Amino acid sequence: MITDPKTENIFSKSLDDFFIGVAELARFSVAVFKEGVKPPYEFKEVLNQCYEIGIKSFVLVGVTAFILGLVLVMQSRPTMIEFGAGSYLPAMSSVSIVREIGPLVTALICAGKIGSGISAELGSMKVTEQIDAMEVSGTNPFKYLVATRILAATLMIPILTVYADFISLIGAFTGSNIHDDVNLHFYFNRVFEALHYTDMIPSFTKTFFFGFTIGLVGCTKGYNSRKGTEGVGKAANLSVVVSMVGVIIIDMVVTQITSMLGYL
Amino acid sequence: MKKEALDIDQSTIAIAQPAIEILHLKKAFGSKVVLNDFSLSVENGETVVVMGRSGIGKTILIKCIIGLVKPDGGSVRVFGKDISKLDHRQLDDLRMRIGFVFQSSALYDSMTVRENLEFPLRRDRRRKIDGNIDELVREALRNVGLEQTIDLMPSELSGGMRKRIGIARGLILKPEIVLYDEPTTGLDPITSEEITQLILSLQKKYKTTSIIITHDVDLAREAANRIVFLANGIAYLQGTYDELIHNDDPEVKHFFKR
Repeated sequence: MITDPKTENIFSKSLDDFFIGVAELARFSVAVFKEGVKPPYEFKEVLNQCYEIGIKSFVLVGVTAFILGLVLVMQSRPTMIEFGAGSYLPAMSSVSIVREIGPLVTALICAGKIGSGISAELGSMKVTEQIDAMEVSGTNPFKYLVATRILAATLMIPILTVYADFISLIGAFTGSNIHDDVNLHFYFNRVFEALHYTDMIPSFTKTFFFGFTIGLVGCTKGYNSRKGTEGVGKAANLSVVVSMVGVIIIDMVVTQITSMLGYL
Repeated sequence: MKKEALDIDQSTIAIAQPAIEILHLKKAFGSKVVLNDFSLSVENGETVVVMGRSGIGKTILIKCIIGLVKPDGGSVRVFGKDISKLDHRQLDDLRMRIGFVFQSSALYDSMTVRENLEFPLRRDRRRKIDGNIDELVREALRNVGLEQTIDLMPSELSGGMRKRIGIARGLILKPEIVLYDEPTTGLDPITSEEITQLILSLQKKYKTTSIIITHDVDLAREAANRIVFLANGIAYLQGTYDELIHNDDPEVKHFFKR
């Protein structure tokens, strides 16, 4: 078999980059746990980051979640009615939203908004020597900038997901009311009848991992960005791509585990 | 009696030791050797200007002094402490006694001028009370003549103002050593002269030991007790400004003839 050395080089370089990236993420994760548990703790900065990451994403997540809930019901309704299952619309939409759509869409939106934001911010701080300035001020930048952002993302993505689930169910209720006349009380009764703890616990638990992944990837790519402003742009771009893939892989793994445990 | 004599001896040693002592420092990036057996001693209260061509390793040198860059070999002693042997906390404590003025000013662009100056004060573990932070910030800004910029963002400042704020931040903890990385680079001649005068007045006021990295011959002439010419990774030549400008070495002559 004849292989083109140029193609072989690109392939081996991509493989190298992949393993270097994985090793970097692993090194960062270890360092976060190692540095994060040591006092002094940066509570104020964690709260500040919770505001930046969480509160400032409420509008975007809310609008997207509402539209998704609405569209889900509008698109599912004709098929459900065709099969005579129109009355299962609240149950179907709630299980879809709580189990999958809410957590996944929230994480993907946050990977785009928060992951790129963290990466670009840390990257530009790196290339303009602001991280060095922090270090010479007697501050551990890893603890102050990285650990706080990862912790804030890990805490805020689950909260955003719960919020997105709720708004999305409101969107689904609105969608149901476009063609039918559904009472709010009746609708949510059907929703909660359909939902069980076994739906909610795995889907809520995985959002912590989503948050951790988004924070970790954003910080790793930003903190290690090089080559000036071009490097910052690349880091932000890469952070979105890697964290989105990471979120989807985690989702798949959690679904498999949940299925193996008999919760699906 | 014996113990007293010992105490006196130790204090004499402490006074006699240089503020900064660099011995056989080595640093390379891949195959590019930047510092190769570089040695330098800076006495208390002395101002040493390090000059040399761009990319020769001047910034790396001061980053090694403050522990931002880890050398490949040799030692850096600051106040008698080998910085490679300090743990994170000890290094942070030592850094509180050293001011660093970055070439790019490195102001935190998400913070106002006030917050930029407050940052080192709030992170200083030696300080117990936060009460006089505002007064210290205002004093630092008065020193650089920019008290009116206190609530501005760094993006609203001119290049010269940013340099001044960078100097104010570097000096706000009243450090015993100040390391300046090209403080006049990128400024017009008038602003450069103003920054030079500012550095001189602050040095006079706070009596700091300083290392200034610069290409600015006027700054070197006015500020330096001693100039070190860095070339080939070593302290190639050193002396006063007059000694260096009259030196016949072709490289030094070429540099100062610009």
